[in-house]
Amino acid sequence: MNMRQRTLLYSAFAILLLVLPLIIQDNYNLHLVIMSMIFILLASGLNLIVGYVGQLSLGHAAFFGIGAYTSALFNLKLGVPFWAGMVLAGGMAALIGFLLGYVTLRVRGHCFVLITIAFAEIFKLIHFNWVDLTHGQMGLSDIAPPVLKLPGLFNLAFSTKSQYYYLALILVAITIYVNSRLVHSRLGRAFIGIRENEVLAESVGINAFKYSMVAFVVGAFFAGIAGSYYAHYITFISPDLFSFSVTTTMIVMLVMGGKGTVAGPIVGAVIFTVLPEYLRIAEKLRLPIFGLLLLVGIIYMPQGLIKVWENILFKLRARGHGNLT
Amino acid sequence: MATLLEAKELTIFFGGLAAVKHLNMRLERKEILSLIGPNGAGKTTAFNLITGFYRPTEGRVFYKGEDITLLKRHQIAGKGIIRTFQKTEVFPQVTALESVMIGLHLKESCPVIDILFNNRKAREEEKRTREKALETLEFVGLFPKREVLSRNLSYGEMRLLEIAVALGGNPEILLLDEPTSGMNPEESYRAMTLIEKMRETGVTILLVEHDMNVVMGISDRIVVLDHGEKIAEGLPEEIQANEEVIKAYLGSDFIHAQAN
Amino acid sequence: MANQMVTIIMDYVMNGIVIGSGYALIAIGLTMIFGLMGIVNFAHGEFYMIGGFVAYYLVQLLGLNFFLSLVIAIAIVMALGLVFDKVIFAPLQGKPIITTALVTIGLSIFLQNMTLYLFGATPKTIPSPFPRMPLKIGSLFITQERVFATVLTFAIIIGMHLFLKKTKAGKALRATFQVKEAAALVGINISRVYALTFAAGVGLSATAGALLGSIFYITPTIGGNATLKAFIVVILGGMGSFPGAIVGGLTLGIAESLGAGFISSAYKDAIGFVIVVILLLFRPQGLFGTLIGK
Repeated sequence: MNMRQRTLLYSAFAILLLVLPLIIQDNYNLHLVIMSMIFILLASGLNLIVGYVGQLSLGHAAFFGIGAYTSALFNLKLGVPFWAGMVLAGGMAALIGFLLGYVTLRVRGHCFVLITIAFAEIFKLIHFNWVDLTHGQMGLSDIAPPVLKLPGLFNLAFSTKSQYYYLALILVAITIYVNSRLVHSRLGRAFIGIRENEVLAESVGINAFKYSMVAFVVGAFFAGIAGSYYAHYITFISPDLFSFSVTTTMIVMLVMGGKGTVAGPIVGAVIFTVLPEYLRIAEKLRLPIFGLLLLVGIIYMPQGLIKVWENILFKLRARGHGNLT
Repeated sequence: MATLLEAKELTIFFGGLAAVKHLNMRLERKEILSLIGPNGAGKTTAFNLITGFYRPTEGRVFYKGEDITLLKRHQIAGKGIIRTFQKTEVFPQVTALESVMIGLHLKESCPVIDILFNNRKAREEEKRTREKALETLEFVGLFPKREVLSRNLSYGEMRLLEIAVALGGNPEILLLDEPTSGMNPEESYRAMTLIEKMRETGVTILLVEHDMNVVMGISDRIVVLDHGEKIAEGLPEEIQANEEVIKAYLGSDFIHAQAN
Repeated sequence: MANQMVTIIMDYVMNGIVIGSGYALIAIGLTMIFGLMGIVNFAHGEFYMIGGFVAYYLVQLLGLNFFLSLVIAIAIVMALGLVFDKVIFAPLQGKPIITTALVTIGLSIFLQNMTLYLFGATPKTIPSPFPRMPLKIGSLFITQERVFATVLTFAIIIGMHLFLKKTKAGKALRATFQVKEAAALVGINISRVYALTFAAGVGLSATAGALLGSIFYITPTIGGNATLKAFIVVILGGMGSFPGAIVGGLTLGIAESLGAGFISSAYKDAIGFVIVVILLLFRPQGLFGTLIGK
């Protein structure tokens, strides 16, 4: 496919994305699209530490929850509007990510995996038990939807799914752009160096601890943003956001989609949000299947669906060339 | 200052055993110094001590007069001291070109803001990095294999790649740990030529080697270790004639070595 | 008044020992598997849970004797361990950490949620064969189930120690533990050792599950917690160290018990986490993390 064809394809895709709410008119499907976009934010951020640096962080749901609660609490207690709340949420998640990373990224490996799991559980416990602040199990409700205000011109509180959709689209576009820029630069090369051979990377001057921190904190930041968006979209949050099952979902999306690529988390997020719904899979069977997929996927297609797709294209092209001769 | 690197009384104990004992040696600018000795003499340990991979129990390492003993390994690399490893280390799932680009990390400094906006400064640095990487690959003779994944390279090619990655950051000092191990005579000869070519570009080289042809062929000076201690130091001819050294191990190896 | 306080503390400590010995047992299994096979088994707790479930259903549905159910449950889980080793873990040898971690996590998620799907979330307790009358030790009361569980746990630990030190098979295990290549050279069948070790490791986990299942509740999700606790114990006591697992397990059990009693029972599970974080702050190489050189 040459340059012109590619540009055409991307433009068509971009236009499709822009007019999607006109095509998909029903709320249910639009909701699915929005949920997959939230997961794109989560999986892409997680991809930096898991896919590029190669450290398995299994507490990512914690940053999602922290973002959600930060934004919700600022809104409910102090009337802070969504836009500021979102920034605070990202900042809070990044700060906690920084503190956690500072302690645990020194060791990396299995210790790190364990600590991240425990960390999310602890946060769940805290939000469960600190009833005064978080209403515990009851969760927080009536979180205000985003309001677009231009003094004198308009005062628009989000109320339709398509408004949320466009906001999500902007967030996703920014996140993917930032991720893409990071991984295709010297930072991305540093990440990959650490993943592929940490000792060698350090011997050429890459500070493994520092770059692991960068990947971890940036990922946490985006998860915080996603959490804030979620809180103001669903307008209700509970400590379940910190559940391991949320992290599981993100990990399955990342691994099956293709960790270590920019497109992988996108593919994974969309497929694993949409497919379980369409296949009418019982809620309770979803998780065992995810577990099984993870197990089988990491052994038989460790580079995810993206790579499988690439291989298919490669073989088709090769066969095409063969036929021409 | 002619002395680039200096080790003073370097000592390290593993359990109760001293792997390196009171090692004193210096590396002069632009020389090729070989560190030799029987297996287990402590050569790689000495490398690890100098490059921040081990912390010495006693002793210090000085680089251009500065005490670098306690610096972390990436900091030592930052000073311009880069090492290779006894067991070939590569970035397996990365192409040869990308590997060398990773190695160029220390030469890249574009601020993150510029990277995010992908402005001219960022794009130019990317271009420079790529070009330098290609040049380095050319220098070691791996240019044709630039798009091959590191793990798919032959053993000899991996060894060359390791050197290319180490060279990327324009090191002042290159520590090569048994660069010709596993190579046939032809490959060893090419490696030797490469090492001399590197010296010509201004790199000072500290070499651990077992192949006496290589050692005698390119070294300006030789330091001999045995059981963690320096037992001899001097010019190749001096070492060849040194009784202690011959006693330690040169023995049959030396007899097969050709002068120069 | 002080006397009462002492009694209360002793009571907490005693209960801490009960649960701590359980932790120690699970942790030994985990440490064996890692020490020998280099595999960090994130699904370890699920075998604990399955041990409990199988024992429960054997007693409840088939009406089998408690002690017999215990033995059969352990045997079943060990057999399951052999199967998993052959199908999943043996092929994983030599793969990077992130791969093995993800595989065992996938397994954990599958086992946990499949059990939830099949058997529901209602908490169960294995009916105890012991009379309700608690035993009196000094001024403390303790249920017979707890005494039995603790005594049996210690017996097993001592038994294992003797097995490893005195028997030929035990020595082969220790040899393989220390230097795999050399062990292979003297004719020890490595893959069989691996398989048996894995089975034994998960068997220990299941034992703890079946024993503690008569004292505490069994639900499909207890495995996750058990895995976490086992890891904490191993971090505290040192990976690959048996005495470390025992000391670590008891320490954690007692610390949690005292913490739950005096500080807050809601945050009991966080205690171990806090200990580990403090440990990491002062000894950043952890106890099984790797910090090469400096």
